[in-house]
Amino acid sequence: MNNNNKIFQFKLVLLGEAAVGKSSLVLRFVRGHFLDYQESTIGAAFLAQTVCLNDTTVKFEIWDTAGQERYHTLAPMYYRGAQAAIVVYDIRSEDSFERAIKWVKELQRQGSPNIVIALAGNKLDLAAKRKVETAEAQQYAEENGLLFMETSAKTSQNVNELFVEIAKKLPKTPTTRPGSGRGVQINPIDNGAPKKKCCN
Amino acid sequence: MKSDEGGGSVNNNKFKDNTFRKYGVEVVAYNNNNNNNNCNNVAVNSRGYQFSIHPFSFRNKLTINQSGGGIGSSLSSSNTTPKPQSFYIDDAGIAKQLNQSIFDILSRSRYLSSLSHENLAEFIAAEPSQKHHDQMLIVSEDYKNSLEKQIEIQAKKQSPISSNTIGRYAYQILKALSYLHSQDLTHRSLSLDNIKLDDNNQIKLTNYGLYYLSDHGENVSFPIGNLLYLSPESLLRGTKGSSNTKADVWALGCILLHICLGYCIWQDNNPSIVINRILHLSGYSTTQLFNTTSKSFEECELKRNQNQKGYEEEEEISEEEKKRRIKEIKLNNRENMNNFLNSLKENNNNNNNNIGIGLNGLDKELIEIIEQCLIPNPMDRPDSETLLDHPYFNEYKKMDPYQLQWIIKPFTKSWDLPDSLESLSLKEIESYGIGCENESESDSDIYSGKEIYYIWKLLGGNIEKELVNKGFAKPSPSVHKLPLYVPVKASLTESTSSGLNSPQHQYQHQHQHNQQHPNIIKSKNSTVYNNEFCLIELSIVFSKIKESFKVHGYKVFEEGYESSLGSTKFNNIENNIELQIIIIREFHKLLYQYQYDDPTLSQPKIYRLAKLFVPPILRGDIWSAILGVNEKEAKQLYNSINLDLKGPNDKQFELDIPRCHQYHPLLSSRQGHVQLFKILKAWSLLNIEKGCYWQGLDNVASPFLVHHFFNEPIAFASLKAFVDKYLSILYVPNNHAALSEIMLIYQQLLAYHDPELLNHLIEIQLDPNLYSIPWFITVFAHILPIDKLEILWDSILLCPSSLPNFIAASMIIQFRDSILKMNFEDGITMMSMIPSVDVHKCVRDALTMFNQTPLSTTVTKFVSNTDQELWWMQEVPFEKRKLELFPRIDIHDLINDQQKVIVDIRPPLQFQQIHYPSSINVNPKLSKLQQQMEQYKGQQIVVIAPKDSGVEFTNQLIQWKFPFVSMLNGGMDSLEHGAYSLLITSNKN
Repeated sequence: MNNNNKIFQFKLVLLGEAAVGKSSLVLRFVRGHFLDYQESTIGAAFLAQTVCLNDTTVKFEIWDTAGQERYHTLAPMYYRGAQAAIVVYDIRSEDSFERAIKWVKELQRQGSPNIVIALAGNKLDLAAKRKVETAEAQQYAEENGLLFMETSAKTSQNVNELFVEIAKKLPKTPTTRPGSGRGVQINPIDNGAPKKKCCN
Repeated sequence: MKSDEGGGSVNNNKFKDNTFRKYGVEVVAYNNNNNNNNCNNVAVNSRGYQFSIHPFSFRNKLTINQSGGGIGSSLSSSNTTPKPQSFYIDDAGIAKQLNQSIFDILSRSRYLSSLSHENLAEFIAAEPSQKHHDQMLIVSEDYKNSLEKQIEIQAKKQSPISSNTIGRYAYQILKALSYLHSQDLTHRSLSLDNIKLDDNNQIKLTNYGLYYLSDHGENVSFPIGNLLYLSPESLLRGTKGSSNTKADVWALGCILLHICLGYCIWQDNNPSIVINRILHLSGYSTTQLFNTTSKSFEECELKRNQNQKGYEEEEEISEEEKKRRIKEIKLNNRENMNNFLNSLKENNNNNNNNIGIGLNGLDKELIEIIEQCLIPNPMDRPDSETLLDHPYFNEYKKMDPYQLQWIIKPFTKSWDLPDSLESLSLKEIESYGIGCENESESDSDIYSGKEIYYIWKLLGGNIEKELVNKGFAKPSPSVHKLPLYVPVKASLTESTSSGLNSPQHQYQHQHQHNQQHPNIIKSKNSTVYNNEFCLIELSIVFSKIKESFKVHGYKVFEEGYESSLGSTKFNNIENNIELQIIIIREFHKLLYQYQYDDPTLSQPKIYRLAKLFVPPILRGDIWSAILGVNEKEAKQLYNSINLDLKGPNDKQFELDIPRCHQYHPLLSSRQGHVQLFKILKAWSLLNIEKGCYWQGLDNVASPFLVHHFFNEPIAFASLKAFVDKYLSILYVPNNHAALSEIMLIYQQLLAYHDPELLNHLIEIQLDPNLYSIPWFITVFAHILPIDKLEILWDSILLCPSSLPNFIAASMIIQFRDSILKMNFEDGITMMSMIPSVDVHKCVRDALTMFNQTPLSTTVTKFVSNTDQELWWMQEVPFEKRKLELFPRIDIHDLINDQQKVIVDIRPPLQFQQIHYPSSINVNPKLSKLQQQMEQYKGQQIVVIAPKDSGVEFTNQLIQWKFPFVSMLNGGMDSLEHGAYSLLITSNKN
């Protein structure tokens, strides 16, 4: 790690239908563990984690939102000002995929401009019960310029990879974006924050 | 009842009309000497009441994925119908992560403990053993004496049990059985040693729960039931579901025959002979024959089938063979059984033993009943209810104090009657309508087995210790609990048998077994059912009860006890067992009154007593009484909701319920999921118009379900009442405004009590809506584990609905020292530490804060008022209110408490014209304001400001970390309007 290492901070939000595994993905990424029965998220939960790229460190401030449709009204509060979003669906559920598409549209319409959106088909460990074909999702992602990955929070397959891909895609230019609620600066911070995860 | 050895001496006075509990240990206190609150004479009528602990090993059911199925399939040999994706394994540490069996057993145990019948020993609890993770301990009411012992005693006395007594036994056993059967339960292991007799010689069945508890034998690796009394259909079919309620009727027939003859006629040391004898009697051709002349079974050559199968091998018969056999038994006639019974009847004077009266000594009708019980084909065999209707029992029914007799006299006030008439005794019914009989000088109560167990534990009782002390806990290597095991090397087995317990060994075992390795060792521990019960004497509990009645008397909670609340008498109740005993008794009385008498009288008393202490054992009942739930109404309402309808949230429930409090054994059990689903669905259907389901309601419903497991109507009604009281504004389609309001109040409370913390939170931009939504939308049910939550809710239920705000504030203040040092990120991460909060301290602090806070701070003051004069009663836009860090109070709070520093920031001229007595006029623009105000820091400060101003000044005080700062809503205008006479005006001077 050289001294020129710069830290960029980004706000990332997770969206998607209830029980598709948003919290599980975040917990797998941040804490490295998985619970069979992850309590449902009410309102939202906040966690942070850093990712090391070749010469930069990206720090994610992650807002994990509630999936129930009713909590939809709260969602703008969390995705406002977010530079990245992961829209999650359950590969075993068509409905959750359709819901994911709606989230993508809402983000493209109302989210920050240039927001990096990743589409994650979760529960890959249960691929035997797959209902959403990889190709279908892949195609949708390509058409809409989204990152796409199928993940499993349970086996941790593609979880770190997903965040790394997002980190790579985020613009590392010292600009300030409009944020609301909590001010978000993405100016490089010089002090070395603890780096928990390093991937190359 | 016909002259009988003590059996008829049922004390008619034992049924009190004001007892909450029906069966258990009765305590009677007489007060001979007037005036004295203390009881002079306390009697505990235990009738030989004891506990038994029954340890049994269960097996874990492990579900694995197809990919790993290789291991699973190899072990399924003991399972005749292997399912593709699951296998069973006796837990030797392998299945530790999946506790589904424990959870299912525990959830079923709650059903058993909800049963209540005069001839059933109460099922008290099932607890997982702390020492052996594959062992469950069943605690049950029990008695020393059993039918088995009774037969021995009578035999010693050379006076066999009389026909009349056998009839009474039959009657009482049948009553218990037909109650069990009406609850969809099969006893399966009815036998002489678990038909107990209390000191009044009344029948108490025990061990009736194991078959149900183990999912019809699925979760245990030993056969359930006494071979001697197993019905032919149970013997022929496989393990699971082989017995239904008819099997119990057969067992009863066998037992009655056994009592009457003094022995079991088909008994033999070799189980396969016993099986063959039973099957022979059922008309099945076997190696055993009953010789009607010699009155004994004889070995014979098998005519048709090669059925020299032993009991152990019974399970290995092929499926087709079994089906064929079952078919066969249906076709068979009753000839063999009839011949057998007839020959026993003819057996006139040959009966020279004195252990049984013989069939001839029996009433004709009773013989008929036995004959009916022993009909081999379960389809033809009568069920327990039919048998109970046999005219022979009419006489017993007449004498039965528990038997409900209709039309004793006309009732005019039917609404006086409790809902569950079936369970009422004659005496209880008589006492209705008559009203209170004068029992002035005596007082009685019944403590249920669960309460006795609770007290026993308070007194230091520990079931595991008892087992060790009485030599029941025999350590053995886990591997011995596998049904079959194979030593890796012969030399190893020889040297040490305990060295076999290694994963490697088990792996070996599985593979070798798959190849039908010849050296398989059949474990004794797993197949032989340990039918040993550890009996516990309870005299320590009974004497404690006596003592507490003597010490505290029975009038301790009469009028005016609250005055002594502050006294040391009521301190530290958690450790004051005597007081708890009395409190439980008092709750019994109040809860009974609440459900069946006048709830308006008893509810306030329950409230007051609950503030003193909520006994955990009665928590569910107390909560529902405080919430105003009436059992009868709850049932009516719940049953009126059509749960078959498709609900709007069904899909969401299915997603949420399997994730809700899954660490809790009851809530993670299948039963728990089903019941929670029904409760939530009932709620959402009932509130389909106005209310709506938000994630989190599942968490709110959970504690109620835990307390009223298998009693959905009450759990549902409690949830409904709770939501109505605390959450009605939140469980609606648009709750944003309400939620914001609650969070604002919380924030203002925080400013009032801990301005430094609030300032810091604002500084690091840790806004309440980033972390506190789940707190308020679930009244903390989402963030705290159930056991902690209960402590909070005990207080929340007894206090005004604003208490959750104080709890929230006191919760975060507990972490203030850490949070003060933190930035946003660490701070919000800290919020996930909230579950580690000390709830007792949290409640104490919240109550202190509650008492220090003017009431009006938490009440929405803005009622829409068109009167322009009263501008302070107008609704203020939320955006504007959000800028105020401080709470507003109304004039009542200002006037009622003289301890406040009143800071009037109006211009001096206005102040001179009119002001509140002893208020201080301060210029908010003063340069040395902070220094000037410093002297008031720590006191309650109320700001009186001109209309539309003062916010900046008051906020400034909070930023300077002044606690207890509030603003008078409406300022001087509201004082002039509401309390003009109190004001000091220049004119008056």
